[in-house]
Amino acid sequence: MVGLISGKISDFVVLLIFWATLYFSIRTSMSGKLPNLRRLPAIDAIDEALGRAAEMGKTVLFTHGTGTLESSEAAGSLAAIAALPYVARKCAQLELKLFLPTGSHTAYTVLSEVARESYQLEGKPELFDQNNIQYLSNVARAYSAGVMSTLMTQNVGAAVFLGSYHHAGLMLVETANRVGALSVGGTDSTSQIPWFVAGCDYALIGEEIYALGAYLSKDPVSVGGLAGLDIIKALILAVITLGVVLYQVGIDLTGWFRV
Amino acid sequence: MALYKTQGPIVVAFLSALIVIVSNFVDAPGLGQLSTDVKSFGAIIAGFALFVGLLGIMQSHVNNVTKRKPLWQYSVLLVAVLVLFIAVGLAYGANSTQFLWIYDTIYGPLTATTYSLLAFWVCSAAYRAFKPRNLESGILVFTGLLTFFGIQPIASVISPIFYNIQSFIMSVPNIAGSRGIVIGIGLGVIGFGLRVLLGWDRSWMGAD
Repeated sequence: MVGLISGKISDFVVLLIFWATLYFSIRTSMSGKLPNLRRLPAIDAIDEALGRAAEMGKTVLFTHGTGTLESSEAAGSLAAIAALPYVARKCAQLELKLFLPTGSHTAYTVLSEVARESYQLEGKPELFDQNNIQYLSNVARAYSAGVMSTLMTQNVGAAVFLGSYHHAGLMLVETANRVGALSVGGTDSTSQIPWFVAGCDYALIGEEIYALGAYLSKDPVSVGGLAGLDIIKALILAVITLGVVLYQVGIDLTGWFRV
Repeated sequence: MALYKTQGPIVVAFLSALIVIVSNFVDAPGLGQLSTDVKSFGAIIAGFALFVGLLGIMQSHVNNVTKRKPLWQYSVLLVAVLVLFIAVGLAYGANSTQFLWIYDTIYGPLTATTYSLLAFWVCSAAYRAFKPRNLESGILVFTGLLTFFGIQPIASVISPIFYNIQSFIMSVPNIAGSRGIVIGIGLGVIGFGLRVLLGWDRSWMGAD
């Protein structure tokens, strides 16, 4: 017997509504009606950081955090990897050495391919060095020790920390500050967001890392997706407000979301 | 570029995700087992990727040693410890007393040392960041001081109001702000996932 699982029907309906909103928003964007995006200072800071590193003859470090691609933190890591082509191509243009330490063995091969293709697209495949992509460890403390070592020994002038971090985030950000590197950071780990805001020169908070790929590429699909997410957030806000108001007069809507 | 290189990964990712997502909502014969098998495939592939990662580590550090790059001595140490762990694990098993002894003697103290550095990083980050340069940062510093003071035992001795203020700050505005961020992150994951699954975002494939 095939049927929807009891207790998850409302979840399924909500997911379909979200997907439909995103789909139509992306299709609208692809038809040429691009929404306006509020510029984030951290995005301009990436260009500033890379330019500064080039002027000072220093290197660049880009890391996607401790999230692996087969865990629940895959979205944060993938969002960070979505920004890598832009950073890698800029490094190729400016002939900067790019270090890509990773705490995920599955991301190691993805980073290698993305970086290699980025350098090839800029016509500088000879500048790509596989040895600069290091799989350190899946363990957060060992990973952070390895990244701290790279920051302190490789003359890093610009550091980009994006993705999911646990307690390792603060260590990396502070080490970048100690070596004088201009740091741009963003994480979806709620425990690390305050430390990224406090420690990084420019910070992206939470979902802004998912929008980073759209900002950097200006791709209509990504931009349309951002607009769709804003529409969904407005819907959620409306439902929450309606629920709170109705609850005050004795009407409980929570049962609707447990079908 | 060959079709299997450009479209193949997208098709595989889409079908795999579709099976897992649908199995969460639909009850059908065999679908649950198929979903479990798909997740097992991912775990098996991750195991092979771990092997590739280990080869990368060995290649990188052996290269450091042979070319006598700066701090090559640490690369010797890393390779030696890596080989030791692998050899003891294969010879005696990962749950053997020998392997656990190495783990507790070497790895345990090292992770504790690294973790203990956090206390100093917190102090230096707070000293550098928490300065009242304008109204917003002033409110941040004042609220932080109130919260920090409210959990100290001496605050309860002076007046119970400090603990109540700290509890209110942590349970109302703090929770409200973090829940908003969590909702945004969740929606970002849904949107990003949809773009990846439908092949609209192919940055993870290295495509331009």
